Amino acid sequence: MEQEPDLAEELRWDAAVVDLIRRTQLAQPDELVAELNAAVRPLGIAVTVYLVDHEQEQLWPLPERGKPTPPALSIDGSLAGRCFTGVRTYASRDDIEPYRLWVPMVDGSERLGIAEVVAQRPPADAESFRRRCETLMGLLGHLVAVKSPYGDSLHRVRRTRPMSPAAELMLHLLPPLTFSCHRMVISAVLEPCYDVGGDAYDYAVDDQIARFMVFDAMGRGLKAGLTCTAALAATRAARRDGRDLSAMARAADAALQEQFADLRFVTGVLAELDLDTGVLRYLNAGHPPPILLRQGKAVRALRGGRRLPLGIEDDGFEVGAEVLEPGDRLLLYTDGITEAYDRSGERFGLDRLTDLATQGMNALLPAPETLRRLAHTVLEHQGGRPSDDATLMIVEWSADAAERTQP
Amino acid sequence: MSELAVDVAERDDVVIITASGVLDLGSAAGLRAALDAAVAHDRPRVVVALDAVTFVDSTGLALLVTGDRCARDGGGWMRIAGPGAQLRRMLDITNLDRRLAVYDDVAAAVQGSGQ
Repeated sequence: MEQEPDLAEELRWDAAVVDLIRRTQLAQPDELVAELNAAVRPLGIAVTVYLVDHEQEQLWPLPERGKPTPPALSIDGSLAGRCFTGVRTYASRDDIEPYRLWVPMVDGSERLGIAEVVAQRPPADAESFRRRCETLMGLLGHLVAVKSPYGDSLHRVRRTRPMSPAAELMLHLLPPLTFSCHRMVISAVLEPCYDVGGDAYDYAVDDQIARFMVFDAMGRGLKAGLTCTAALAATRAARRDGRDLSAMARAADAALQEQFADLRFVTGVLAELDLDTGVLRYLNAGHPPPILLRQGKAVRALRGGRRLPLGIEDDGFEVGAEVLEPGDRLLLYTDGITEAYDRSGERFGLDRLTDLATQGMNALLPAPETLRRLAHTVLEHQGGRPSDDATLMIVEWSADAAERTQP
Repeated sequence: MSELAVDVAERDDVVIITASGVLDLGSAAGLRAALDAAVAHDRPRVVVALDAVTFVDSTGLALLVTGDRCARDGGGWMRIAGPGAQLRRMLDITNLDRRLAVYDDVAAAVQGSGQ
């Protein structure tokens, strides 16, 4: 039997949301959780918020003044971890007191962490309670993202090590790891996350066009980081100026030649997908070709649109084109993935990469989870000591895939 | 620390730079100096023999592109002889085999035939 909506309860939750918005207007980043708990106290719940670290291995509690801080939670092998990886809410068993929910905290579709919601008594309507908690944590995800730039505390919680200057620079230039809209998902991962410099990715979705790119600058460390940020900033500025793929590449050529006395080049793929028609246009500036995945299989590498690396002007090329089918996926990567060697000198290789990517997708994992696992597998392959930056990006032209990145 | 041995010889007005070892960020200085010197005059003719180089990274590649550019700017040429499988793969992926002149061995590079 369908339950009557409890209007009084609905109003109490609405009031808590409004109160939270009002309270956080002037809140410092480190005051966010205390304000949250003040706002939801009338609902008879208490919340502990956990943020994921950059290596995506553990969930770290946000400290709250006057309360003991619980220990970090491992993502692998815990219910909290399953909540994070699957972007799904899990409830404790009904007969265990107090009633407890693990709720994913996403900023739109970017996985920021999870929240543990403890209720004084089990809710009368568990389904409504779950939905309300998910909405509340969606708002909190937005607030965490909005408040992060104004202090260091939210950044600090996500770090288990200091960032290198190059990684610090790059981190603040990159868009969030994951963006989903109604028709598609773009997700990326960058390793080693505390020490990356020469690799980057970018994307933007406007009207029916999704634009996405990956970059790999020559060299290592901050020098490579400066090279890469110059290419990224130049292509982004050109894109926002309404220029096409070729002009974006030329803008990067010009920026790299103007800024640096020595030759600096950046390889990369610049692509745009028309979400109405499936027409993909792309250029490949000396980079490994993107892989097209269709119906759970890697069907081919996209070998068109080849030009010289960014930084070396090239007028003799044509933009590549491909017509995607609904449900198609693209896999973009830098050679730090395929050229990762283990102790015995064995390459990670393209076959292993496409196998793991298709496995993840066929298991209907959220795209960011497929990438998290892949990145960890590549790191393990190298015995935890990567010799180069490694970037992966998955683009899924699929409404179902977008749905999977949401609670 | 990677090492690169560099030897410079001259044959029929062609400077032949022979490198052996690993050409990367840590080892490029010797080859850079030899290339700079070889392309520093008018109409340079330079062959870079790389058959004994087992690995080239992006810094090494940039060095070769720079050498090629300087040689062209001076009205001459720079040719690569005998790249190994790894360098060939890299030249292919980066499309730089379109820009750089690559030959199977030094004799072919000196003659400029059989590219």
